[in-house]
Amino acid sequence: MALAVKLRRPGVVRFAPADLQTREKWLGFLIFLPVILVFLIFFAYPLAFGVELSFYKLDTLTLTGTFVGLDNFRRFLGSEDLRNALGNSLYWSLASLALNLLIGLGVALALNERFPGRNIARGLALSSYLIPLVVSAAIWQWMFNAQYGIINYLLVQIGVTATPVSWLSDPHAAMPAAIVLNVWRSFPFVVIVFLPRLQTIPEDLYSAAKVDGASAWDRFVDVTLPHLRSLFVVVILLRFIFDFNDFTTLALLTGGGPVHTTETLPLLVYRQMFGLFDTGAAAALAVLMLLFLLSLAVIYLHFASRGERVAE
Amino acid sequence: MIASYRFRETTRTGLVMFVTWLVVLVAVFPLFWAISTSLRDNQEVISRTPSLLPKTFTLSNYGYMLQVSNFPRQFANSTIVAVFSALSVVFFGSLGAYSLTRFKFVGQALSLRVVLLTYLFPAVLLVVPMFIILRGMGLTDSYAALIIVHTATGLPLGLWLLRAYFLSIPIELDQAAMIDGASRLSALVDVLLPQAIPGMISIFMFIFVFSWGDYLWPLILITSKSQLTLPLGIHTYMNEQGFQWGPLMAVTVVFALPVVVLFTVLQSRLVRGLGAGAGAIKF
Repeated sequence: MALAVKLRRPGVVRFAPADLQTREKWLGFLIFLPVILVFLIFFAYPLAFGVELSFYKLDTLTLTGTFVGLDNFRRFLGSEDLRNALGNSLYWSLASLALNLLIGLGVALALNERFPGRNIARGLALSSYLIPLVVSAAIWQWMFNAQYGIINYLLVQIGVTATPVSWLSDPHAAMPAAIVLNVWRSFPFVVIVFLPRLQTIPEDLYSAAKVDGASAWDRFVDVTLPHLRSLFVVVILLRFIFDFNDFTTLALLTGGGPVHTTETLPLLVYRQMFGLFDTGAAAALAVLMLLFLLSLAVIYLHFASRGERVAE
Repeated sequence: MIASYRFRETTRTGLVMFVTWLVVLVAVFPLFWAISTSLRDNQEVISRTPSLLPKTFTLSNYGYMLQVSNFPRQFANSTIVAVFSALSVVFFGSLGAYSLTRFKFVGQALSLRVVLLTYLFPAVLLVVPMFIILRGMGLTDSYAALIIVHTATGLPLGLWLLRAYFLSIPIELDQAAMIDGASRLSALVDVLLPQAIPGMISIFMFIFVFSWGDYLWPLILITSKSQLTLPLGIHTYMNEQGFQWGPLMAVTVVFALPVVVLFTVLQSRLVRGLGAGAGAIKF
């Protein structure tokens, strides 16, 4: 691990004696040590172990197997399962991301305005983020229910569809339905990130723009958006990672069905491990997911640090 | 001119208010609908023409849940796991944040980045090895397994948010105490910690909520019925009993309630805490 302490002689003369400086450094490191230990034992080690497992043909039930090199990876690359899951993952994460940004930003702007009952509105609008997913999934399963669900009832009443839609068992409807649940649940995250920043934009900037005759849209583009730019980078990346890695929502709502139309990569990993009892293949697939996200992260770091320099 | 300006502002505020409340109502409708469903009798639940409020008012769904399910036990399991996970993240996170903000040592910046990168890891990548490791330690099917996993996966967030929080407490405060002759320990206990408690409370809340709602880890680590936490318990119940929507909505309401109540009480603090954390996640 690269966290090892290297003691360097201070380059400049400090007012504290050298041995006190050294002692301070060690004390600081010592206090940090428990965090490092938890991290190494229960995060880094399992991770390395997981990568190792991906080179084995390993049965989940007996946990015995043989070294097979890159066979697990070779089997997946170009397989129909992987193509389908990757496509579903991208559909799921990108559609959720777009809707989350649109709705989250809109709600943040609205909740930033002054109006009666604003604090209550804020609390209520954000509550769906904290409700346990099992609860959200059960509630939406009930609302999406083909026979008795409120959503079909309303849609038929308004006349959007003549016949009820089998939301969760129709291959075309299941993913959009799942995305609705996901956006309902996670748009508050976007609001929570944007709202505090919106509150720090000086009121004068808006009144100055108004005096100059800028329309509401111009004020949004020229005053609001630039203040939110650095947060956009964070929100887009975090939301994408969270949704790309999310197992629970789809596992609970659709279980990956009907006929694998909502099977994203994490669900495919789970099926490999506990459905097909092929731990090695599951690990290989998880490693592929990680590599994909890691390359995204490198791009992110590049852009984020460049953005920072521009801002300075 | 001024009058017409005022008029325009008033209509604008009215419009904003109307649209906002409409969005809020849509956002809370699912929870409202769950409560409303849970209070209906079985006949009315599957009515072809559902009404917004229950026509038959009954608490029988709640009573039924208490009788047939292992619900109280699972509620207790969830509480124990969530409380201890949150406490241990606050403990380790505070130690880390204290060290990161009050000391300088080589590798600090790097360790922060490494911790942040853990956001990238798919939890499913940890599933296989974690299961094997915990089984090797003889810990599967125990509270300890869940607490360990929730601590390890919650610690990155806890460390970053607490660091942001500790940074906002002026270092001059504890320096002044130490110049006045206080030991480092008493500067920590008497000066810094009292200031940091609000931040610790919000981290506690975040990890509690995360652990309380987690479904993936109990699914993998817990096998015996007596150790199940609520999320898995509810799902098992759904699979075993089929979809009895009335009782099911009753459980979900009871399960969601502690979190919603806590959130309403601590709302503004949590929003500020998360906002600070998100602002801190920058390179």
